[in-house]
Amino acid sequence: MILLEVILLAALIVCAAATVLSRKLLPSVVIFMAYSSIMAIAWIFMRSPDLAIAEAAIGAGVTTVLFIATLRRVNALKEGERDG
Amino acid sequence: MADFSLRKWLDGEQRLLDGERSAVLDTARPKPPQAVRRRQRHRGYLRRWRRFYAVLAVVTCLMLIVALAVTVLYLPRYGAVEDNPTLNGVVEYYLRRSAEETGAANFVAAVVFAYRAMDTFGEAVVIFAATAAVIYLLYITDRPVQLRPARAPKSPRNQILWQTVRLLFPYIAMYALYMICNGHTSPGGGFAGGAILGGGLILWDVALGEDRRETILSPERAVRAMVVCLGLYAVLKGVSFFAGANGMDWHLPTGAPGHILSGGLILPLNICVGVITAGCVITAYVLFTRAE
Amino acid sequence: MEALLSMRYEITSVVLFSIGFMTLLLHPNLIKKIIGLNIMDTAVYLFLAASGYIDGGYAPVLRPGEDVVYINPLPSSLVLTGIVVSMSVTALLLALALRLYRKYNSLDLDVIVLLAKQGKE
Repeated sequence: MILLEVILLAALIVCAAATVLSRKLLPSVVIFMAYSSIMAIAWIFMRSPDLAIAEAAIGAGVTTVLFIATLRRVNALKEGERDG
Repeated sequence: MADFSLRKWLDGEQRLLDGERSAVLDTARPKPPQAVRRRQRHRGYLRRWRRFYAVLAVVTCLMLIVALAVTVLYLPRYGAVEDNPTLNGVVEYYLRRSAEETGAANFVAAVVFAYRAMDTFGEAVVIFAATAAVIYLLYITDRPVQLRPARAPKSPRNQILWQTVRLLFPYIAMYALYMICNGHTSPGGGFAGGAILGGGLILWDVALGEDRRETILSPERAVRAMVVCLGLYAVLKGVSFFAGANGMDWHLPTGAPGHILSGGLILPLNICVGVITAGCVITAYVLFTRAE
Repeated sequence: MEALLSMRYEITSVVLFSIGFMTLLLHPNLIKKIIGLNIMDTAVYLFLAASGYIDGGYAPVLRPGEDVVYINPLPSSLVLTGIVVSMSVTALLLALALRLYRKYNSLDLDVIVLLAKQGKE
């Protein structure tokens, strides 16, 4: 069990580092989503199902959608500028 | 007037930031060659400042890591019961008494919506304030977009997505409602259920297609629902506080822990918080994709 | 090694906090800064919730008729509201970033600062 937790926490750190180091914004946001999902599993290991549900719905779901909506808006603004 | 200056400040009008000082600087502007030299010197200064800032940031961060790591070694062991300062009388009281005092089987819901309900009201106000700020930043502009409510997409271009959403949305909404209404008997609750409901609404909004004038839930309506729920929360908890402080015997029956009709005020408060969270989520999404 | 293993959650949260803090300070892109802030948030939540765990404890939902040890529900309830508030703060920060992009056509903070300084002169 401890081995599984250590693997999970190592994956958490790797995901955080990859989010930060990735050069493009969209992959970075998607890795952040994976980070939040792993965090949700970590909450289960800490016996906090309330937090796991909240993190899966809010961290992995809503926050990622908001980031992607922002990136899409920025790209649309960029293309409109190129056309004009 | 204040509204006007705030908007200018948000748009980066520097004069308003500096006030009188910039007017003085404008009149005392130096002659062109001097200005060029000064700008070059300024660039060099900026580059040196960037390098100094990077080094300073790394050093600060390393010192912080060392300090935190040393502190961690002195903390009580993970999962220990003996000499763990977080396990004090308050926690013991919650675990022993909350089921009979509040009627909620979920201890977290009992703490969030019964013992610390006023704190949660503050959180709901923070969420509402963030939504209001997003609306202010993206919706109230010089050329406002008129968003119309819509149910189904007009163009048949994205029929596959629309039919999928039409099949899926009732189940998503049902799951979210289950989670909100069972917040006091099982894990979940208003915050998570509201976020799931907001996610379902986002899905519906995506299926409406590329028409930027139409949306499933306009920000006006969402804010109206949020304000009603905030007011309801405040009134319910205010009455409960007032009655409790004056020794009046006014409270909803707590019921048996584990039943849907138990927990007194926890169920209505969960519904209020769920609506507020869903409204925040869907408003932010709509404005990020639709605003000018 | 034994000490490291027994403090695994706390050590992870310290590492995550420093990663997020470093991003917040050093990365010039605004979206990356916001992601760094989110990582810092989750690191703090991990630390808080780790202080509430008890060996062999059950999830804090009442089990009628059983005499069992539950984990500490207080950090869980504090973190639960914190997660939602961090989401709404992220929405606010993204709206500010969009606003800055509309004005300066860039998400790079250095460029924005430079443009703002030039606009001043």
